[in-house]
Amino acid sequence: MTIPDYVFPSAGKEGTPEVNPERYSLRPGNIYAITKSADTDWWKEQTQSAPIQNYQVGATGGTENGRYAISLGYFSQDGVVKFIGYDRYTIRANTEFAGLNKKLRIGENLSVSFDNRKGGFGNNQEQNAVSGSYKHHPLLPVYDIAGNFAGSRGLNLGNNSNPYATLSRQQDNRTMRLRIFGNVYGEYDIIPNLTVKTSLGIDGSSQRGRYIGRANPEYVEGSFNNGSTSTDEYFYQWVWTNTLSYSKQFGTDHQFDAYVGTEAIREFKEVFGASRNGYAFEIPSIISYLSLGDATKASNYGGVDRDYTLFSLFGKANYSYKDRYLFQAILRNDASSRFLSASRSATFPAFSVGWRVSEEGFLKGVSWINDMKLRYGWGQTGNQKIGDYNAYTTYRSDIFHAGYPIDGSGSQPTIGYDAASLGNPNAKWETTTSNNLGLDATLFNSALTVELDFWNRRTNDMLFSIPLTYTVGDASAPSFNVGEMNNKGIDLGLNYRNSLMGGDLRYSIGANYSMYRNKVIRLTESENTKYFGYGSRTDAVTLTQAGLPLSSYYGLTVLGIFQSDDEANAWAPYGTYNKAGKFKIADINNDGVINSDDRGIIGNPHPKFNYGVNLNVGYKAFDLTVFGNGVVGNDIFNYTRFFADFNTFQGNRSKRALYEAWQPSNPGGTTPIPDANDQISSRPSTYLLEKGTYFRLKNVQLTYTLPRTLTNKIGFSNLQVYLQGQNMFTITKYTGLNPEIQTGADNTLGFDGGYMPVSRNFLVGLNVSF
Amino acid sequence: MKTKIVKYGLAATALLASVTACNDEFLTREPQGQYSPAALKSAGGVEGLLLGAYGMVDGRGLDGQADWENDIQNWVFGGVASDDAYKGTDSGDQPEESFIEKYDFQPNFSHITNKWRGLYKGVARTNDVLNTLKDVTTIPDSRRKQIVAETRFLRGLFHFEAQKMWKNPLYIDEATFQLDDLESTKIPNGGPIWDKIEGDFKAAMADLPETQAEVGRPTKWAAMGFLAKAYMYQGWDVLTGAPNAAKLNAAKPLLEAIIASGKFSLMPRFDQNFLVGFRNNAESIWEVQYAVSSAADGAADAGVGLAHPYIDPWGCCGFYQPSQNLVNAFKTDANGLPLLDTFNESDVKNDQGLKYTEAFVPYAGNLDPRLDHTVGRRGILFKDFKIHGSDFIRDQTYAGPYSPKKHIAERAGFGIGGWGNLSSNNYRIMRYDMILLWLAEVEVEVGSLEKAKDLVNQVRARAANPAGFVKKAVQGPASRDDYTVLDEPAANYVIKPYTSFTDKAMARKAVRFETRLEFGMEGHRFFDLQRWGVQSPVLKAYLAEEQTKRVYLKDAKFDQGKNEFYPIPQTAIDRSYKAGEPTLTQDPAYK
Repeated sequence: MTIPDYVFPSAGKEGTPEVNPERYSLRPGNIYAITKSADTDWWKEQTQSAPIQNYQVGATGGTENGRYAISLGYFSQDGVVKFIGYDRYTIRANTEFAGLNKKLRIGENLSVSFDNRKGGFGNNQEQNAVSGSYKHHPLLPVYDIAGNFAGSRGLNLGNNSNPYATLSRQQDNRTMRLRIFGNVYGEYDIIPNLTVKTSLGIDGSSQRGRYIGRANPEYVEGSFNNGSTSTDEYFYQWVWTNTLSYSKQFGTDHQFDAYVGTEAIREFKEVFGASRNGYAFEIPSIISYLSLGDATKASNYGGVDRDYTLFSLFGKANYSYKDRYLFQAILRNDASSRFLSASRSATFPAFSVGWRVSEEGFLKGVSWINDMKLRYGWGQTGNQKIGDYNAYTTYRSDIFHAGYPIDGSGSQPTIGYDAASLGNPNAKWETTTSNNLGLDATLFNSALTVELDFWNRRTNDMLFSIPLTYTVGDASAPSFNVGEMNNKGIDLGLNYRNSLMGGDLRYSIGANYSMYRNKVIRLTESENTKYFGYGSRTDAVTLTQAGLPLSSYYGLTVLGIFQSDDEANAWAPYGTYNKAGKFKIADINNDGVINSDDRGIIGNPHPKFNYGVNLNVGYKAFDLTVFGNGVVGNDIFNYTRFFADFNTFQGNRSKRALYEAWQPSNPGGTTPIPDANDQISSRPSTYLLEKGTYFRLKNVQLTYTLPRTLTNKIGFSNLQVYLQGQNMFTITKYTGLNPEIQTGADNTLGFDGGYMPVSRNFLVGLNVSF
Repeated sequence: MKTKIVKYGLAATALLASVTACNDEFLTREPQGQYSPAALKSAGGVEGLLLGAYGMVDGRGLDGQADWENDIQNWVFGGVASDDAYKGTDSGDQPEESFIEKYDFQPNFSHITNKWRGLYKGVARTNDVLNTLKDVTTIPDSRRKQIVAETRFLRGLFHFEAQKMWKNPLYIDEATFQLDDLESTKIPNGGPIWDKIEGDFKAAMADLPETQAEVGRPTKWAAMGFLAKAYMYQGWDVLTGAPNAAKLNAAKPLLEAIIASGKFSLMPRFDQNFLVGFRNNAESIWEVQYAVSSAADGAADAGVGLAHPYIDPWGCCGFYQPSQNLVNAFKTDANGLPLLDTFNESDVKNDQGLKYTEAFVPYAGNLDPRLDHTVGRRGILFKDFKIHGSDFIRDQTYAGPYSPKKHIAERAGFGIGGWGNLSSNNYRIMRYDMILLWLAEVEVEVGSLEKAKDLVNQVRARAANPAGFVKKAVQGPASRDDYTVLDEPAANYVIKPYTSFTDKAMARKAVRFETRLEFGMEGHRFFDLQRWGVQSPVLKAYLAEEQTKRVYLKDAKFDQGKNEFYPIPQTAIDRSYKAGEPTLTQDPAYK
């Protein structure tokens, strides 16, 4: 096998007329972009070490009747992926004034920030830089012989766009946001111990986006067209809270406090966008703005993205006797615009009791117990995280979905209506009932603290967006109250601190452990109801069913690899798939054939447990802090293998596909024999699952505090210098880029579709106080 | 003190009361910037819903699919899967299509899934029209009848396309479909749904007018044509090819009525059916309408966007390349007739392995002139763009030397939208020449061979019009686009009418052969073979010969009793679960 000199023209040879640079052309009507072959490490090409800068200066002060704090911050980060970056400027101001003999207090907290996101990168996308780096063919260079971006027009080099070119072309994209966040409040002591407070908070932002589409003629499916999109969004959320609170101690033994209140929340977001194509030049000063695009190649849109209100009434009472017996009761009523009036509001009670055992006479004499408290709590909370218009069926009207040139026009379709989303008017609040038993203890001269919790949460009327049958159309599905789910778990936190050498050596060791078990108890529709979850280019990879954890992995079970055709022929047939070197797939339903009915539960995205450790050691002016955490026992669906291990698409392949493929000469191979006709091996199966167990050293920081005598001399009250390392290392057997998968959606738990790895950061910091 | 408490009490009550009063208003958030079902319960609303249903005919307008996966022109399912065409481009492009080409149909293909999703979305849209119409009283009865007829025509069409794809598709009518009950369409699939499809077309035919002011709407004749087509699809047993005289006899009067109506005629030139400049012409009974402008291409023919040559100005993507077998079918003998049995014994000469700059001596044998309107090949002017050469082709070694031609717009129709390949070159799904050849098929089986011959000859006579021959062009020096057209045919076109159909077997062969020549590369072939019940013998013979030319076809195998139809998508089955059991059942051949 020899590597040709050129990838375009395909297999071009040095010195032949086909590769004569004079023939080079990359213009409409003649694309002949001569491109040499290369050995490109696409990951390396696209990533870099990048600086982060973070500065904060602030001042605080006050008098008897007023306090203030102001600060100014600047944060700037260049991407670890090239051509992306982020800047942020922040101003914060907090003030409070007191009057009427301090019975009245008025104050505000305000933060104004401006941030700017530069360049384009989308996590978990098939054509992003991360995906490009494992899919784009290493034989392709970044540039062709003329210095233009190289594409994959040669034969059998796949259809990916040059990921470096994509990043570069998007480098002038801007998402600029001005955000105001804060609240104003007034508080008045009506009579001693009775205080009324009102607070109005606002979180408002205005965001401007400029997204540039540059010509990508080298790309196989590219073009000479360019365009620019401008977007404008505004968002606000206001929260108006009113409380009346009462606090009083009766005698020495009875402490009582209580409050009642109301809270109203309104959230709204409107988006607007327009674009034009056909720019004469692609320099940022021209293509960033719409005016110079071709006005006949324009489009626009506008609509509401978020629109909801929430109104709550609540009350809470605390009573404690001798600080030994503690009682708390809460009652709240929440009403959400996401539900129609019949089911709009729901009431959620809660109570808890605490017993400070250490205050009891029988433990008074136990010197090693400083404080010990037993807690039990029961309570209900509600969840309304569904679409704002969940109740409503709506229609859209646009050319793509509902346009048809019914009159025979070759240019102007008539536009009709198409169902866009389907409503569920009957949805109601999801309720979670929690039981919690806890112990807090401080022991051994306050050296050891223990926090232990056992909890159980039952979720009723679980809100879930069920996958719709295709025969209803492509309108989006609403959430339904589908059943019950249970989570139970244990959280344990231990912290030990002590000092030696007369206080010169300080240390503390902390560890936390938490585990939970998730199970769907019941699905309302039926005992056997199955909800199939996410499937990208594959069948569904998850299943939700009573008795199983939410979004359990679903697929075929690979038992091993057939070592011979005889072994393959003796196995239950899977069409004509079974052959030496192919997966031996379990006949789950024992019907003597392998097919889709042999899919079953193959893994669990939920971990066995999470843990964290932290360690602080201080000696005189030096302090060392180390923090790490980890997860044990979860499965990750490594979708990158779908592209890299099989012949799914042309492009780059994994080392597994190269070195670990089964061959008669490599009977120990763990990846199936390479076969361009194999479409079975890449189906969702245990092969695509990997353990997500990892430990990551998140943070190491060494701080030096200048001795006060010295700092005072130079006019500072405090001066610290520190060195910090973030994400120092990760121990894992997971072969993807980052085992810490956070997808946010229930039906994609643990689905790794091309996640940005975390970067290792080194920071030098300086804290100065005057 | 007491009064104070009362005052506070009053104030608190007042506050609470005002809170409750404004609460309903505050907590009611109705959708902004979207239509509600109530808003569409009007005459305009129903007409708009109907337009939305029309919008699904071309297969576009479905979220989450690639345009080519669910394309009414069926270049993948009807073309690449047949002996008309190869997948084209290079070996790794759209791997699913490579498997479809090799009859390795998997239920997880997004092509198959999105075909299902798109067709049944179309069905859902039609049922929504019918149900909404029931709630609107302001539409006059005459228009109401028309709306129902148009809608049922479309519903029949979507189901028809589904019946071509799947052995046991679903049929969903407006009584089953309830927009506000998301479970309502979870019903079992049984056997074929032909009777239901016929029912829709019959209902449409009964009420549709003979002419329509808006050309995109079907006429009575269009419904009649589709009803006849439904019968033609039941005319033979899919597995044995045994004729079904009842169905053929049912088609006969319909086809005769369309011809007798005098409303339609063959266009003088064959290629006028494939040009933007001749949309909705006299030959057209019903077309799938496309529109494109510089501002919007959402209603353009994006389904065939990839199926354009790899050279400029299209640049993308070189899919759907005609097979050598198809090209050979256009050979004619000294009598100007096709070589029904021996056409594939020798190849029409091509430029395989030749650069476009290298000399090429063209094939001198007799050819049917329709070849050069169907296939782009060396030395022949490609529409009005440039002379075809190997630089049109992405990977000649892999996919051969030919380009698709019919669906590609002429220069005037090119480059209007953002993506130049998108055009308004309508898909002429129901044409007069189809009616003639279907009637010829019927005459062969249950009528007169003489009549069959005359019908075939009508079609051949039009093809023989010298005005419709592709003219010879010579390359100019300025650029690849530089050419001069001469006043002589581009090749040795010899086409003449049949003088006789000697027997039924010969006649059947001749009519079917004519169908291939007339409709090659229009996405019908796989399904024509299906309805004739000859997929297995024809495609097996095709593979045996073609794999000597296209090495990747070596491991292709047509499985009789299975590959006549496609599998039901796995996710469609997964999403059909009701009470823990799927309501949809896979085609047993794919279990």
